[in-house]
Amino acid sequence: MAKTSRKGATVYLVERAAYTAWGYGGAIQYTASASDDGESFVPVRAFADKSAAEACRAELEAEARRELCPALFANELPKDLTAKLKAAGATPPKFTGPDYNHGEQFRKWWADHAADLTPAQRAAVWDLLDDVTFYRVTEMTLEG
Amino acid sequence: MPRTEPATGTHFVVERLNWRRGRGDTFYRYPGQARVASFATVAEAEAFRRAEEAKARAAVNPFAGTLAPPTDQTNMPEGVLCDWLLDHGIDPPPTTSGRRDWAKWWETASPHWTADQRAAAWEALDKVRFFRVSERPRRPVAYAVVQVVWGYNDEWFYPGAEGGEVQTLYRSRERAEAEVERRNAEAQENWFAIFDGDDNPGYAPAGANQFDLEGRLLPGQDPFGPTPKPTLEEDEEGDEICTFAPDEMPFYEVIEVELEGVE
Repeated sequence: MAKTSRKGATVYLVERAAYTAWGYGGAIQYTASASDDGESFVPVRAFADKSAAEACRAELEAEARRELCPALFANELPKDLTAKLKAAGATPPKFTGPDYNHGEQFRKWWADHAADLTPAQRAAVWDLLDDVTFYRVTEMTLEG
Repeated sequence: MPRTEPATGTHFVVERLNWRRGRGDTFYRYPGQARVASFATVAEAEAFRRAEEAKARAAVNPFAGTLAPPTDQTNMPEGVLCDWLLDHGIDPPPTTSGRRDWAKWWETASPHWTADQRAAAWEALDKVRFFRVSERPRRPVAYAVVQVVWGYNDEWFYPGAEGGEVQTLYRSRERAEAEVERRNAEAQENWFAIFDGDDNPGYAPAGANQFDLEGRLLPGQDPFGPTPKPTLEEDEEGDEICTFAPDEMPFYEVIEVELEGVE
């Protein structure tokens, strides 16, 4: 791979989104850390090559999804979650009671069953939550 | 067999998984990890990791604030975990109405365990780890100057949970640190001027102490160590204060990043 010179060069920065956990009674919810003044990101790695940065982003995203529970990050569960979990090849939980309880039921189900899911099934479950991403790539200039 | 010496151009990096303290004695794990040290051999790296892991384990109740104990902590079924504990001379938590209060049990029982018992209990909790070692290529690094994003909730100012907005990326640590020092001094001066004026937007008796860290780590702070306290202990009305003054807060930080493909 061609290397770029170090000073004044364009680099592609992989950044991780900052999250905050909130406890509500027995429930836990993770939300992106944001205020009226903007969102927060942590710079992780920088690349001369954009496609290498994108590959790193995808790898780190997959790692986070392997290790963390999607229900923690879901502000709202997808509609027809039971059917969608079945379509992903998983045996879904039996959601009971009002909708606002389903998030915790989903989380308990993940804790009990995530280890039994194949990597493809786990990825498919995460893909049901399409507004959750942990990493991004931005363009920067590297100063001396 | 794991390699004990690094391949050419690699080294062994100890990373801290992204745990931060929540309220009280709870700790939450977030996406990502941070490099804390690197070593030429895996033995050195593992020794450092074990020492750091032990410090974290001494501070953390692994069950506190979790919803599905012990499934969140171990791949062992609950009955197997209880047998494991009994095999190591530890009475598992009693069952009340079909449930075990694992967090309360850890809080009350674990201080009385021997070091070996404590190690055995942690060994069973294989889903809870705080550090890891990975072999990585040696790469040049750059230093990002990051502006902390402070919000305001009509009562106090609060920071983003970590990081912020990257302003500049430098090859030189010295340049990045000088830039951060200059910008922090400027920001602190501006904030003091705001709080000294008639239009202090915050809680007046707290004076310039209008910043709540809300669990954000100060640069270099150990997430498993004690939480920082403001220098000022009481506000003008004699009430305990937990908010900080501008000169105690970071408005800019330096964050190190690996560079790939840059000579």
